[in-house]
Amino acid sequence: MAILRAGPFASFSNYFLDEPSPLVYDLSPVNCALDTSSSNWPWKSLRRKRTQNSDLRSIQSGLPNESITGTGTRVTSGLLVLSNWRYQATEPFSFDVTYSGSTTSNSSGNYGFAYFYVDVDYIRLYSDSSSSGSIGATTTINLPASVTPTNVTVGVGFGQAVNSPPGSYASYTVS
Amino acid sequence: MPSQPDINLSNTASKNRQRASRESREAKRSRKDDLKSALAGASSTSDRREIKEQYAAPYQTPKPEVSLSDIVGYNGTVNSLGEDINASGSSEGGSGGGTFELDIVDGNTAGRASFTGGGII
Repeated sequence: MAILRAGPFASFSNYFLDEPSPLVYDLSPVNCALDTSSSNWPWKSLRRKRTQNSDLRSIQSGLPNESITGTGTRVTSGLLVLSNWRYQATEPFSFDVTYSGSTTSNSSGNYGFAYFYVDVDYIRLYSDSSSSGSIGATTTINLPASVTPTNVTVGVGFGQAVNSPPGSYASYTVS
Repeated sequence: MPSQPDINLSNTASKNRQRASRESREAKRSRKDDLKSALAGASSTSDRREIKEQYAAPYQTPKPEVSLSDIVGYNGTVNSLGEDINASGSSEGGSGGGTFELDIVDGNTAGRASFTGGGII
């Protein structure tokens, strides 16, 4: 059975919103499951890149594919990048997300920490973290059918050990 | 009295809850170890504070930001009952009938459906 489209943006309490300006976290694009083929209803996500001192947001077209690299040498150079979107679906479906992260170590042998997570409707469905250098895997996220827009957030980040060299990175690809 | 399939379903749900709870406890323990290890590399109180803040951030469910636009409907056309008084697409024939189109999800595919009938009143 078909359902009517919501969006183009939605919040937790309003499913029929225009794109906000400036962009607001959690007020994200509504997509049709994983269908990226429609020009009438293009697949989008809200990208958020956070550091200790900045919080940049932008709209990304297509399935999320993010990568961040650290340039600092202190724990304050930690980075987080996340993609936030909502979906409607008439049938259950799933997406794969491949993530990786790696942190450099300082002269004492201390690594920073890397982490990855997937939230669905504000509940942590999957997470991974490590303070011993690296994380990485491909995981499948199963999602139920949903008439009203369901919120999905995928995020990856790292914090650097004190006095560790640049070169830490983290990334994910949704497919 | 519950049937055997009902009992089986209930048992499965209970086992799933227990597994989720166990995994959550293990993840918490692992995060604690990670934090301890990261703190060992800190050389000052401010570094320790930063590390703690950064560790806490990803494990907190982000709170939605309140926005004025949250209370304004799609193109400002949603009325107090939540009805969109300007459905997207074209409408022909006015109140007497005609055809109009709406975006839909069908089989997890983005599509467009054409409706014929009384039109948009």
